[in-house]
Amino acid sequence: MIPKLPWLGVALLAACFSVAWAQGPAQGPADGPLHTLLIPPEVLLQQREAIGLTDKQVDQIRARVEVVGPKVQEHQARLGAAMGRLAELLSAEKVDEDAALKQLDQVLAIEKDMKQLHLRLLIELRNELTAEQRQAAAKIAQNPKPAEGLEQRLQAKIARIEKEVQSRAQAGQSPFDVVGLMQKFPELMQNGQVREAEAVLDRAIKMLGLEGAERSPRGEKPAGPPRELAEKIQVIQQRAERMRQNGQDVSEIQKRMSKLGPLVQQGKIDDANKLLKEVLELTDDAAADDAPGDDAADEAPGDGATFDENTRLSPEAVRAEVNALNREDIAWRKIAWKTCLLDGLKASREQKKPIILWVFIDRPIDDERC
Amino acid sequence: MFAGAAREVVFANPEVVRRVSEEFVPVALKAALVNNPPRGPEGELYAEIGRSKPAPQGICTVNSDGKVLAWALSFDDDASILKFLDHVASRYAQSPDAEKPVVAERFMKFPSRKFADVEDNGKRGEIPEQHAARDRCPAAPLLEKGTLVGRIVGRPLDGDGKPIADTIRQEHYMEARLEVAIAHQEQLAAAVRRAEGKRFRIPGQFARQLISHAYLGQLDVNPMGTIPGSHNDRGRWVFTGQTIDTGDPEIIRVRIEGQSDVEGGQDIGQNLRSDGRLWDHRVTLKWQGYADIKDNRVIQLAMIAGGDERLRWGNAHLNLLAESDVEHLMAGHPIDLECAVRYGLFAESCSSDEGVEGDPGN
Repeated sequence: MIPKLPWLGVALLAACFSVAWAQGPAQGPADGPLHTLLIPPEVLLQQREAIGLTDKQVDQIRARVEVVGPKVQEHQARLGAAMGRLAELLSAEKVDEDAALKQLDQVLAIEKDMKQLHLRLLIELRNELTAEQRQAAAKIAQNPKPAEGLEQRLQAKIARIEKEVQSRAQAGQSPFDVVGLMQKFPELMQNGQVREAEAVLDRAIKMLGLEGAERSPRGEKPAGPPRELAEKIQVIQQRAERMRQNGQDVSEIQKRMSKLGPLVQQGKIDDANKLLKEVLELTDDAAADDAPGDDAADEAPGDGATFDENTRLSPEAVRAEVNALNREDIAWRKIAWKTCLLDGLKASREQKKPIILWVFIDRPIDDERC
Repeated sequence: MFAGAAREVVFANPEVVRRVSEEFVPVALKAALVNNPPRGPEGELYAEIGRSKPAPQGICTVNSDGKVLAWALSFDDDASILKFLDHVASRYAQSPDAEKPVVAERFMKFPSRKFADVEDNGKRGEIPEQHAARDRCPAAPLLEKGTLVGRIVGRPLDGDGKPIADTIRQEHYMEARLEVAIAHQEQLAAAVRRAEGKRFRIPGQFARQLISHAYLGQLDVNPMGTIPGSHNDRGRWVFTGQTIDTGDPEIIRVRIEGQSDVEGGQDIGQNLRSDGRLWDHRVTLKWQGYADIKDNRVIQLAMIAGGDERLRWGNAHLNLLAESDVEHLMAGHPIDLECAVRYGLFAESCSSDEGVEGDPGN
């Protein structure tokens, strides 16, 4: 059975939509209406003067984005966990087809939630605008400032990644790490972080081993990095992949590694070596932290034992210290906040008192940071 | 930042606490329910509140039929908070229900800066006796049964190594809710099995849950860089585990030790967050504690951590020091902190009233 990768399609579609946004008018007629009807917040804020937004509207746009941001993070965390579970199921010796498909449903459901969240935000923002402002925003959307060659470059990279992923899927391989990485691409594009988005594509190309596979116009294969560098790059790639699989943040590695290409191209091999040494040190602890269990069991990690017998606390002592930090007599907790609106209205009618609502991004009374 | 500032300078004011408790019915609502109301009659009540909202978050007052009397996003000064309560009480006396139309007043800053009123739409929403959706309140937390739920508390230490007394500002007393998903608990249980009694690395996702809430201040200053518009400069941690005997064959106790070093800050010039906020944050901690595992799930987790923290927060667009905090609840207050800190964490499997079978996302 050829594994289906619908979220890749979603990611790539969204990516193309984003590229179109970054570049200019959509090429296909089907993209046109969406492109001019729903304007992303970053574009509204960037073009606030041209669109004629008032300070109040700008505040409201920012406030709406502030509400949605953490929700997106929450969905991304859920999606990451669901994808991880799916990868786990698919990596079994004999894949439980029913369980895998059920897990896929979960992944798709979370993706749907994310899309709805995004669309709802765009609709809310559109409803904030006057007819004249919508017209001005649509005009800007139709004629954005072009970025030379970006669209073609990104689309070419996406096409290479898509082709390779599909090819591997047909061969029974499932490059879930790459697919997982690609999830970041649409959001980066929608945030206007084009360089970071392109770095994601470059990383995916590296992970798929496509780096350097593209031939120059004369058909000559571009020269790769010297062997001494290539070996280090390979180690870093392995460590970064392991970190990513374990949900660790690899953005710093990506950021630093993006500087490598220019150094090699300029012949600054010593500088490139120095950079790789830094990244190797950076990945050392983090990668070891998340080494698969078997490796960890074989290699007793003595460096992780932070305390000696004199400073090591018993379970009871740990609990006592935790309790000593807790305070229950906190001023804001003295108000007996209800959390249910129906309960509040019922109490209001019975007690003949107005309701004071504390409307917050999450439940501020629920031991939450806010 | 709004809710943190509102909690610190409005709902921690003793006179406000007294009057809200005596003269109002206090209800804390998730903004998501007001901004994206659920379907059905209950959802229409949220939608009616949201119809006049001047911003996605705020302090709102409604009458007994759920009609908005007034919104406030900030106040001229501390005394204005009490005047706002007086004002609302007066309006409630005139319009306790939806019998006659009532406009929704909206204050950017009470009483000096007012937005346009929102007229009554004439609709009188039905107030259901109970919730739809299997009687679950849409505001109630929905967790998969077995999720590890707890609280982490963080406090800066004084020169004598004791927690400082103030518990109002979040950079002085931080509480956060901690949730560890079943999948991450199972990863830990699997790592314990593979280690066969030897010291082992704590799986990354589990370790991340321990450190990701351990920072002082409001939720905007997460040094892990998870808030849009922020970045993470450093995120290194090493946690190891070692099983120890409990005398109970059904419970596996793991002693956990580790170190974490996390640093992050605001992306300067990032359009999505160009509200002028400026901050940087670094937290370096040593951790120790215990996790009890039964039937492949963590049933109890207790950790303590100590170390150093540096946090700076300000806003380039606002002269925060010159204004009282109630004047700019949206922007918070300046913070410049560098000190020793201590964190404590305790979590248990979620109680049955929070837990639902299976993935709550379905």
